[in-house]
Amino acid sequence: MSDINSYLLAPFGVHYYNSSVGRLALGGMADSKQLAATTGFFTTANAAIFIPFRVMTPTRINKMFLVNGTNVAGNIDLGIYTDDGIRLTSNGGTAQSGPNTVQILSMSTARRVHPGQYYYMAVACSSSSAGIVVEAGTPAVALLQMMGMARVTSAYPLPATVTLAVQATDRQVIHFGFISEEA
Amino acid sequence: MELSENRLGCFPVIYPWSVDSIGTELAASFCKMTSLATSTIGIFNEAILIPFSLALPVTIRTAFTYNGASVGGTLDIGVYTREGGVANTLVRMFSSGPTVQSGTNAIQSNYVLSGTMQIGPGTYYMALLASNGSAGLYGINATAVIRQGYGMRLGNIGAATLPATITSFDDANLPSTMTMWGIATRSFI
Repeated sequence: MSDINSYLLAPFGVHYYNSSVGRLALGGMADSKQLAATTGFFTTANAAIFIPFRVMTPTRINKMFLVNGTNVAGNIDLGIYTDDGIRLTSNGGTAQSGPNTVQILSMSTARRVHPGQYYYMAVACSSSSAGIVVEAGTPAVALLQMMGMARVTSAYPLPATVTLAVQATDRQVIHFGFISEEA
Repeated sequence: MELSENRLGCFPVIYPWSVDSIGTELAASFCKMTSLATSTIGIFNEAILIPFSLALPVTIRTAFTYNGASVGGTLDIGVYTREGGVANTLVRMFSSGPTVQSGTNAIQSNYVLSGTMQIGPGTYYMALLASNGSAGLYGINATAVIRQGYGMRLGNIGAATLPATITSFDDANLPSTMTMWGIATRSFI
């Protein structure tokens, strides 16, 4: 253990790749669903999906990732928002590429997030033919609402501010996330 | 070092399957959320109490239930602390008061909360009190014995309104269905 952050992080099992279904995000709640990852499609073109997460130590975010499905189409954008819908950073939009791979996007600006509050990781696609990896089973939207997810229509590319709204449409948990670096 | 420097913030929604509540235990016992089904709450005038923990202060703004295929009577949602200074006594922080259950197969979130909604670090109980055993909620079957091991309790109330304190308990009769309801720090669910 080199420092206090390592000491704190170790028992919590934090990884460099922090997924939407990982310990800092939906974690146990997604585990509770006992679902399995499968390939699917982004449900609504130009909509953005927001998944809450938190961090154990100050964390610098310069890259994010999306787990692509068997097909790729259109453009994707990934970003980080505050709990009241202010964009901290995003990619700005990139062609989806590489079926069945983890596509990594660089952020326009590296930003730090801090413990003590929660943030949202956001994903938006320009095409409903964009292949993505999701949790199988098309869970009821009420479950996604209780997990703290939110949704915004017409949000590609991810805008500077959003009014977060009820996730009442897209019955899927998309596998994407951020890559943490020491702050 | 700031208080928040190395403490996890609270998720926007707290319900039994949250990691801030007993979600880890439920996952371990295979209470799969995909197995949920509509059922009736089965008990009335007794408060279901589910523990949750906070590392930092939060302000609770919303309470909700995931109503089942039928509705009935009123529901009262609140939060209690066990730090009232008296052993085996839970002290109410805030509650909605009895609210008519309305809207089937959907989340109901029109519970109007009053009391001390800003709550600090510590362990609390979410409380749900029905006036009618036929109140429908989505939930998952789980044995009462297991859920006692997760820290759930059943408060003897004898009325349809959550009281200022709960001093009498009936833990052995926890209902067999783990129902879905909770609170949130944001204004929507």
